[in-house]
Amino acid sequence: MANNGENPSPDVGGKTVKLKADDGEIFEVEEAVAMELQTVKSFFDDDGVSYDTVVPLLNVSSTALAKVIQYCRRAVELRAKSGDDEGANEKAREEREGLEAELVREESDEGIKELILAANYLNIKDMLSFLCRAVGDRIKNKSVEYVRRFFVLENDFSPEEEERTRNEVAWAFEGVDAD
Amino acid sequence: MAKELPEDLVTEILVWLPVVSLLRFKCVCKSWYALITHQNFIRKHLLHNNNNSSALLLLQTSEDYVVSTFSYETLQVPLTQPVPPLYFEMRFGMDEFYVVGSCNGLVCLHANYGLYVVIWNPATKETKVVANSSLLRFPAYYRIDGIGFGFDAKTNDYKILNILSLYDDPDSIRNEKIVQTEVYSLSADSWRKGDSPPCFICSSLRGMDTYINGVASWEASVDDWKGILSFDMSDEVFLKTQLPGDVLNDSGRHFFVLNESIAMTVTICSEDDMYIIESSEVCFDIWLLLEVGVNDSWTRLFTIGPITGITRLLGSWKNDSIFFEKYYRQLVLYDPSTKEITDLKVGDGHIVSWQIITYTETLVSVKRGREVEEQDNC
Repeated sequence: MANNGENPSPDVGGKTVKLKADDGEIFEVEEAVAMELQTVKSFFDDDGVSYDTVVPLLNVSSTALAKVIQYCRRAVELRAKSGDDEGANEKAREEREGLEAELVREESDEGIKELILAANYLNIKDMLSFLCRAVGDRIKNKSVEYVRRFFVLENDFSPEEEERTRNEVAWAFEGVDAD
Repeated sequence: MAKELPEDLVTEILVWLPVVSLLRFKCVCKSWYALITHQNFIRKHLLHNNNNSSALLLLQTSEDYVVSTFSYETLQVPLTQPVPPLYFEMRFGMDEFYVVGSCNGLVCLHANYGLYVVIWNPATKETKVVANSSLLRFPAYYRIDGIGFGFDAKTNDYKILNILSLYDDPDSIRNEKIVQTEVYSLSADSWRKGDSPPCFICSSLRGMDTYINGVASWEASVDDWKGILSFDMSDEVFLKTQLPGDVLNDSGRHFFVLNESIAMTVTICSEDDMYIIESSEVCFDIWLLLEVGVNDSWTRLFTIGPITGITRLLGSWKNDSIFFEKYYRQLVLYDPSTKEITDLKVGDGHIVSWQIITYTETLVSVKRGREVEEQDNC
């Protein structure tokens, strides 16, 4: 998962907002895009905060922030395209689904978890929703052991307890993907 | 460094999972066991899935009963399973049992003979046999007029309503009829006598004609009055709504749910046929009852047809699409906005009877008290 340090440059004209990632890197973003991040929106909703203020996003890495900004920018563009026309709406919806699929396809398990944490911290509902759905799809046919590794969880059942719990729903263990 | 996700985000991921995965993941660790079995999560998962209801098809073939669920998106039948073996002891003959209704992922089944009722969760495979009521002693002869199954949102309880006609003498079925009702509560696991209904069920189904948001309804009549009898599962009161005058002389009335309201379809035959046969052209007038109990709130919505080859309307599904049965024993889905008819390939072998209900997969337990906060009992 390479971070090519891409700092998407804003469109010419229009207000911009500066966002600072945890490593200090500053991202300059169009206002409309920045407002997709509810956390950022709340930051400016407070009285007396000037739009020149750099928003500190201490819990978000620059890698994750770059991807979030890229996604939100395209989401804003797509939303602008749709309107009353059902055909246009349908097309925009398909494009958005393509965008979401593209974002998750290349991500490692660690990367997708990082994006979930970022989307949660930045309070971007739609993004959090499709990311969680994507993880759900990744794990739904997987074994218990796989899920423990994915979520970094210790098995704190005793062997007898685990055996008993498994036997309660033995049929649910059929057809599980091999690890 | 491997990241851990906090429990609220884990929950946001787990609500997307099918029940079979969630049951398996109870074994991941103790905190996940507690999370997945907790009523809060079960409710969240249920609400999340409510938008993705699938259809449950109960098929009786010449060999067996099977249940298939299929999703709206694919219209495929991904899962077919036999009905739990518990019921095979009830073999009396044809049409042994039927689905009363489905609510929050629980399906209520009733045997045609006797008061044998079962509540079943097809996703978790749990079943509960509902003990017979002991309220009926005299007279000894009864007929079940109607059974309802639903959810009381106020007490978070699942209930069954039995409406029975009791007779002193089985040979004089039309005389000395008393109608009694009783209500079963899953959380109490017991029956209680209910109020007498204000009219008599005349529906050909004994399960509900419709069930919407805690209200069960049946076609009913009393003397010259014809209409709908409704029962509210929370308040446990009966309501009645008269049918509109326009349809009183029509036969071929069926009721179903559309847009979370009671809808009625009236079959109108274009030709002067005595009997509707495969080549008859028929129309279906669709009416909607906007408010239960308000006679004036019946509205004629739209007409389907003229169309041939359709025997009956089975129910509605997402986006107002409607299931129809076509000659012979074929299931089709009709989309009123596009007027498209899709043939759904279901069932191998000879189909004796079938029923289709909308259904949502959930973790809801049929065992009383299982959903209560689980202590660390592992």
